[in-house]
Amino acid sequence: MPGDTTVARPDQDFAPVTGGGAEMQSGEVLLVEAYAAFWLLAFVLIFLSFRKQRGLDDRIRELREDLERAREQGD
Amino acid sequence: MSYALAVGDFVSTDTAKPTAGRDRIFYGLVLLNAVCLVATLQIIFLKAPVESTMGIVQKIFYFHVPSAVGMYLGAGACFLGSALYLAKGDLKWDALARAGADVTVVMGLMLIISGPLWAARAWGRYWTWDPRLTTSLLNVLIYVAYTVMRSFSAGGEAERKFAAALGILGTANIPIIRYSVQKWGGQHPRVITKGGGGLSHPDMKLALMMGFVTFLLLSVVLIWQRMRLHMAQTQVEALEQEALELGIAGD
Repeated sequence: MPGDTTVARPDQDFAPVTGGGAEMQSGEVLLVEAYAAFWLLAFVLIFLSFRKQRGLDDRIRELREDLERAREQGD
Repeated sequence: MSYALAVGDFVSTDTAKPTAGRDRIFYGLVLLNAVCLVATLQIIFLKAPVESTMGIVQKIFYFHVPSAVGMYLGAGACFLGSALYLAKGDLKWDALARAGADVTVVMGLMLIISGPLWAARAWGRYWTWDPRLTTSLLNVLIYVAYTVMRSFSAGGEAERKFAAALGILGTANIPIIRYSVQKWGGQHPRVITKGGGGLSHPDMKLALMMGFVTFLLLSVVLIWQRMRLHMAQTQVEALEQEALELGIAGD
């Protein structure tokens, strides 16, 4: 194992590889993770915003109708 | 109530007809953004060459740097909205400040998630307390604090003014992030900043330019959408208040 300085005894303990961090990372996996994070964040925000906007628009419409009705009854 | 109507003329509802033109521009921008996104992905993955020392992971760069620009744009919107709210007291500027802070948080998260993933390969570790990394993290935390405060506060005038002050002060960190590499050095690459080597291949430059266009459009679309949302929220509060005054039992 690259940079390994410990004696592995897998029946008794698990020892990490040391000093080989860069070689252990797959560029392809890191790239996919980064792009997934980008689009997950963007689409979650867009989805939540549109859902909330729809709810608020409905509430505004409902309140306006209630207010109009109340004013008509008051006249 | 004139207050509710003033808010309503910016909010998209069936009864707010003046917004039809704005809606067309908004959805046009969304469509343009989607086209740019597809084109950018094509250029990054099919046209731009793989970097010679870091390999394919360097392609994170084409969205990592533009997300930093998106973060600056969001912080700029927050600053502008906060300053104009303090100067004029108009609620639409407060909504712009909130929208700017929301976008700063999202773009900042993109930045500080993608950066360490790239660093894992380039530096052999996810994180160092490098000046640019530290100031970028600090910036995200400032705007997270802002959005959390806005979400959990009552939304009165005092809270809005306090948030506006935070929105203005938070922007002070932006030039520190920008110039931290030049001032204090550190490990962070300075390929496209002053004194950097630049991108050697024209397709790399094209990919970065397209990244900038896509993220600027995305930031504008997100700021606009969040601003509409915060305006609608303000309008709901005003209408509920009016309903209470008229004695209508709300849900």
